[in-house]
Amino acid sequence: MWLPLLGLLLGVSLGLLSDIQIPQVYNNYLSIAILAAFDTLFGGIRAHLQQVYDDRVFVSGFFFNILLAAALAFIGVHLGLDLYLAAVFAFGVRLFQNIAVIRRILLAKWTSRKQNSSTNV
Amino acid sequence: MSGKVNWKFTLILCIVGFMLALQYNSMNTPSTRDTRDMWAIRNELAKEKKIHSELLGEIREVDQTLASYTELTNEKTAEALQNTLDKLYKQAGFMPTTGPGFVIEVAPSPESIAFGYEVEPLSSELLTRFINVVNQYKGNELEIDEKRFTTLSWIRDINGKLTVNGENVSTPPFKIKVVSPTIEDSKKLYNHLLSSAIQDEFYLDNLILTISKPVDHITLQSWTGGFENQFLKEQTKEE
Repeated sequence: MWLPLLGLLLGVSLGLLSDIQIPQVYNNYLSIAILAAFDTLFGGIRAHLQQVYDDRVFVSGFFFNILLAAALAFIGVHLGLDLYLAAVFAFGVRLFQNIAVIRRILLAKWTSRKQNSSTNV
Repeated sequence: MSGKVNWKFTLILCIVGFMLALQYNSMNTPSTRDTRDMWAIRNELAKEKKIHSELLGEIREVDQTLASYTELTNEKTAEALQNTLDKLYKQAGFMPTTGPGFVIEVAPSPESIAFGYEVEPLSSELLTRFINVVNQYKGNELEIDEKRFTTLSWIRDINGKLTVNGENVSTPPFKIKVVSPTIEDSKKLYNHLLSSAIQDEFYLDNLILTISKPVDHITLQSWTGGFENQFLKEQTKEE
């Protein structure tokens, strides 16, 4: 449980310490990539909680989604069309859905645990 | 969570964290790059230093006033207040001022006289421009054709006649007096006026500026217009 959080902390501190800055032009791509990464991450957590987690789906989904989102943004820039909004919309909706499912599962687990403990007493 | 899954999650979270930090870094840096070179920075520093020393001067002056207030006994308080009042009046141009300065005579150019051109009154734009040139140096006080020019003064063109404070300025020749804080300032302003393009501007209107050398004592008349206080109210003792 703590290892992934440690990883997150490590990544953040690495990024902050390295002091790398993305040029303004590519800011859009990075932000959309972050959104895609979040979407995959929460999807992974949900899948894990639902016991349908698959390693390959998770890892490939992570990189593929990021690339797809960046590609959409890139094409959008060159077509003069805000295609990245499509990615923002899709990922945003999915993010909310995933988080909602995670919340329900956790709530269900919590209530069942509470019932168990009360019946045990 | 099995060990393998845990590792992958950790790696992915590490990447996410890294991306987040990068985005944070990029968003927090100023978008405009500082492209000033050493010289530009030195110039700005000099400007700030000048403001600094001016402010220090003002603070010193106010401190002195404050010290004189605190040292005074009750009988002398009125006198001190009167002194401050006089100083403020002087600053506002309500009292005649004597100081180092010079006289500028605005006269028709010899060529225009030779050609027999009619002498036109000075234009308000030209006079405003002249005042701007004088005001490039601080602390100067002006009198235009025996009309004191203060911060309350105005220059208008009324039916083709130039007026200062609502009074007509005579058709050239007339005199402009400039008083500076010190004789050095006066000399500086004198040289500045000699080298500036303002003389050419006057010449375009068939006028020439004859600038006399700075002298120690030039007296300016006081501002006669009175003033209206729209925003401040006198406080009575009881309040």
